[in-house]
Amino acid sequence: MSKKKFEGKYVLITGAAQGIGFHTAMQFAKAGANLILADINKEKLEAATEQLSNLSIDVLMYEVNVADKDEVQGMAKDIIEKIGRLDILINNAGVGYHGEMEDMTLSEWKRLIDVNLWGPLYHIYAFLPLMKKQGFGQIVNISSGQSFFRLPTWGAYASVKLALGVISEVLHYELKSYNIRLTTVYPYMVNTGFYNDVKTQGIGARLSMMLLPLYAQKPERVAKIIFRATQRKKRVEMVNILNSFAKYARSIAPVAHFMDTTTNFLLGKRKKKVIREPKTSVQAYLQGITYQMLSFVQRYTGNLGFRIEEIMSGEHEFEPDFGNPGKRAMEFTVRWGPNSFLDWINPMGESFLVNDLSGTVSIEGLCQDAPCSGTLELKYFDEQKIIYTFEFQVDGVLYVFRGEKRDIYPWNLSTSHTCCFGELSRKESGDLISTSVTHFHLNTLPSFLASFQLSRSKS
Amino acid sequence: MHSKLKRAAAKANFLRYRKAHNRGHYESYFIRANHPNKATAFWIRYTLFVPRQKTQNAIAELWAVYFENGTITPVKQEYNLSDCVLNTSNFNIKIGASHLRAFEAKGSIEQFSWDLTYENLHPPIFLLPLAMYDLPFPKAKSIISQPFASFGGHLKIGDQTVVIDNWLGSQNHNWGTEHTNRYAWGQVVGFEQDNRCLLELITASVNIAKWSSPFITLIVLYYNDKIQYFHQFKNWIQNKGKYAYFTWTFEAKNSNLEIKGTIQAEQTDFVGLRYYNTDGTDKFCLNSKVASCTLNIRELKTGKTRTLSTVNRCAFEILTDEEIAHGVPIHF
Repeated sequence: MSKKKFEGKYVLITGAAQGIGFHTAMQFAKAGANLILADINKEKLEAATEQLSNLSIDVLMYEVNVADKDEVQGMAKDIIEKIGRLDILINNAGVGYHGEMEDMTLSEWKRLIDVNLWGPLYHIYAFLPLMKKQGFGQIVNISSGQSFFRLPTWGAYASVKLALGVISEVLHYELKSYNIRLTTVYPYMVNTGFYNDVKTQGIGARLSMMLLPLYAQKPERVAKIIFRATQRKKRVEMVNILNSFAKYARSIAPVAHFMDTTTNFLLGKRKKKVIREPKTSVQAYLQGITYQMLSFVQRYTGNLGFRIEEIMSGEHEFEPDFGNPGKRAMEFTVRWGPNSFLDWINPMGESFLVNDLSGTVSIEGLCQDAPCSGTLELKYFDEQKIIYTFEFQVDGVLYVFRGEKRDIYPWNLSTSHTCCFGELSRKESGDLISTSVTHFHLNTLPSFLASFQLSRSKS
Repeated sequence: MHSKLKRAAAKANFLRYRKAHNRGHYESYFIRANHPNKATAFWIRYTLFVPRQKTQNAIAELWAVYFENGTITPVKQEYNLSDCVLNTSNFNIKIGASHLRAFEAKGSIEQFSWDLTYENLHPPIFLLPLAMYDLPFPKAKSIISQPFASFGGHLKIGDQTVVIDNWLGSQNHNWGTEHTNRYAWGQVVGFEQDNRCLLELITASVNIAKWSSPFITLIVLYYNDKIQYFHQFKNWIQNKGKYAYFTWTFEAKNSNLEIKGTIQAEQTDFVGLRYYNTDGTDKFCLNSKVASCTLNIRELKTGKTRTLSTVNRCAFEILTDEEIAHGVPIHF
């Protein structure tokens, strides 16, 4: 089936400003469809609209709260008046919730149901008359793989998404005679801003959120699957084989019980914690020792950090007007490390894996061994990046270098961890001066490791 | 560009030579370009050569060949590795007093000297699937590091000065533990009908233990601003390529295009060069940079066909064990 099949068609996508919604919009735009983007976040919606408008298609945007019936109906009225047709409605907007239901307030329940269930329903009811009238249409509802997993701590979210899935799958048959097709999509965990909303409790849950990028699917990939499912008018799209596994595993009671028990242990909060007063002098003594040891560790390691020296070398190329064309040598030698090791390893702290950095930078055509200082952020978990940011001065002009090692995953460390894509700009004007690629060469690994030194800050 | 490809591109000109290479190693960087409309071309090659188990005999070589309307001027000089500066952190190779960087090449061999600058805005093109650059097989690797390089400057061959002005060509990087057993290699940068089209292909038989593999043809084509690869595993079986002295026919298909082509040159368009192989034997490279090429392209989705050709802008090399049968005198 040719992608051009969507040329001239109008596709409404809710929650289109970012994540799956935006990437799905991109897929349809590439296939020639005209887009109607709806989102509650005006800034991001405008940015998305601007980006998609470059693809020579019509793009309309509506700042809409999907949980507000009047706003949805107002948008529908406007679309009917302006365009008079809607080929595809994609109910994508949603919010996440992670946590035990006993801790969930009724207002949180209401928000979850409003956005994730009433939102799609408002849209379906707002556009159904138009689709019936025009004699065709397709509605794509984005449910969730949690509908099948239904694991402890995901109960509220899963139940609402399951309800949407049921509505969508049944509507498929009920609306078939009007030539209106329903596609129900069950995405597996997707690495988008969606999970930023998730409130986590307990170390296991926090860790699972932190490691999300390592096991979640990318929104671009899921968007392609949604596009393909829409194109093929699939009734149900399971997205990931793990969803199918969960669907069938649920029907086997012992397996389901094991899944639930394990998840509850790992992700659930610890309860019934009883603190007993020590009854004997031995217990009191041990407690005292433990307390003193902990205090000692805190006192003597609180300002303990380390430093390690890294050499990154490679090539840079001046932007036109800022230097001669061609790739020239670039190298920076920096010592980096945290001032407080305890802060550095604390995943909840602001200094988690953030390092101070200082050293020298040589950029052929600009400077030789210029002193530089800044930070090195090891963003393994949330962005899969390492970010070098440092400043230096040449002839009174302040320059900022920002370099990124990208797409770092456990299976590609040897390449992703050694290659840094950088941009050099003037701090004051923001002008981009040069782009670079520098490398950590493995022959410098011994000296890198040998340079490791513990340090103690003076605070 | 995908970050995996971007990272591979950033390492295209990485020097792969390491001092401890005991298994043998050769590595060459070469630049080549053709006159915009004459049968005139140059080829300059900077090479490191480390014989197997004899790292103390490692040498560097400088090669230069100038092709001009049927006259071919080849020169070569060998150097000790101690006369070279091999920079591993950025692309800056110095062999004797000659050097090659990402934007300039200067040097001389006897009466042949060059002072060239070049510009390229296109990312590298990979003839092999990316994963194969990190695998031990095949033993020889090849990248077009700067595929659409535009050259300026001059060459001096004896008393003759050749002004190079906007000659289109490429900068390439090859390396491996030994030369491919037998191959025909071709490259066209800019066809007469489409200056933004690039073709590179190889039909090769490699050594697997003591046996020679069947000939495999791998092709990469830059066409309509997109790279079309004909190098996936299924292409190894599907692609067809057959060469003889001095004609080569090939055909291949991927999900977008079907291509068929011919590359040929006269015997007198070739210069014969002796390549040392790391196992102590010699290979003979028949090298022409003024061959002709005709390429028929059919777009599978639209059925549209197009024929691209060049009379004398095609690089055509044949590597063989035969020193005499082809009739091309071997130099050096």
